[in-house]
Amino acid sequence: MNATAYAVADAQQDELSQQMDALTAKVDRVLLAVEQLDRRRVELEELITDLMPAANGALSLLTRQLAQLEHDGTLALLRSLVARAPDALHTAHALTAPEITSIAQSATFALANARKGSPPSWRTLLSSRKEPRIRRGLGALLEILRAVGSGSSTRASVVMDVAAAPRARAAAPSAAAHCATAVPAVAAGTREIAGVMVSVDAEGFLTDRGQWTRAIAQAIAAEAGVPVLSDAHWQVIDFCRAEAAHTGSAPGMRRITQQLGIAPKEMYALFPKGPGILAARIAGLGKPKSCV
Amino acid sequence: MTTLTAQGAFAQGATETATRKVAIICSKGSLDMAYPGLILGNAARMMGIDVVLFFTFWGLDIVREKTIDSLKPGIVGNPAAHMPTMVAGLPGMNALAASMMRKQIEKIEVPPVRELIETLDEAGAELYGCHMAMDMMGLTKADLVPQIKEVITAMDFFTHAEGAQIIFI
Repeated sequence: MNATAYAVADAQQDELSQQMDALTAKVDRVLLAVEQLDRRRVELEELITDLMPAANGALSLLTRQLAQLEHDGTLALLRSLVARAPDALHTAHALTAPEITSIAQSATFALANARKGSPPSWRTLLSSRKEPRIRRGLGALLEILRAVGSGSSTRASVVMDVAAAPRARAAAPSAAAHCATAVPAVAAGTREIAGVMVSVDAEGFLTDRGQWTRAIAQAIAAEAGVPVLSDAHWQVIDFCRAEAAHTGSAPGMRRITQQLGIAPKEMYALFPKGPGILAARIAGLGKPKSCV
Repeated sequence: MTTLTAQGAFAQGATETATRKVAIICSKGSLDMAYPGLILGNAARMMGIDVVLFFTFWGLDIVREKTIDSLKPGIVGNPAAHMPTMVAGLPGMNALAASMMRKQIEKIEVPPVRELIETLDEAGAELYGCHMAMDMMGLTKADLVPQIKEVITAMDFFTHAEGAQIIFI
């Protein structure tokens, strides 16, 4: 009795463990599949990121080439050809149709005449000109010639532009040189700040940052509505001078706020009458070149 | 030895900036048309010039929560897009142009539109929405960014713009 019960229990256990094994194998397979899927997803993402610049590049190349074509007038030619295509097809169809006899006759006539060495008579030409299909064909031909002509004229103007460009370029430097000498001559001046003679431009910015001293900064600040320069002011001024020594011009306000980690609001509190230019002015620098 | 002209100009410059005021009307909502008004307004504030910004019609997109971060340039029919119109009109071109423009803007250290609006507000510029345009588009003040001080009428605008130089964009 016991022995049979054990045998049954054993059999059941075997069955269970078999089922468990099968289940584990299935889970393993699923896990493997998930892993593969994940790997594919990552690969796909990488592929997309790799392809994006290439796609951008290709698109911009296409754009540039199309723009160039349009500029040259080639596209206009192609476009008119496409527009004229139905006409051309129509003419071709008509030529292969059985009602061609009259045209064929005049063509053989013309060919025969040509063989004889004399051009077709005016009458032959005029009579064939009245033929509607010939007219359509001529129209298409003229349209194509017109497009070719316009294309070549754009190209001619481009050539002319290119030819004119060096002259314009040659003229530009002399004009720039003229401006460079003319502007400072009008704007330059000297004035006394904090007991020292310094050169300033028309807007009161020091033109030589080497003439700047801390006393001059104090004096300019007082004039510009900042009676006392605090440590916060000096931090901004010192940064402006360091930046100008590095880059050649005073930093814009956004650069100051970002680099020093201060809010725009604070800048307005420090330099109420225009933080974008006052910091540079007090620091003995020119007007910032940045717009932000 | 003091040169009178230089000193005069300096003194004049100092008093002039204290009283100057500009009113800028932003009427276009494309990415390329959003920047001029905001940059001019910000530059004016940086020079100590008082600024009033009035957003009307499509310009409301610049200050709408829904659109402020996703403004697109108008490249179709824009000769400055430097591409054939047939290419500019392709699907996705405008979005592509927008992302390229944003990257370029970031490269030259110009802030995105939302940050510029915040900076303008911090700088003390007054930002207003147009009452009539908002009625027309079914918008309320809640649809706009919090930097918009008030929604005003055209006549209110002229009250706020008194003595200002007016720029329409």
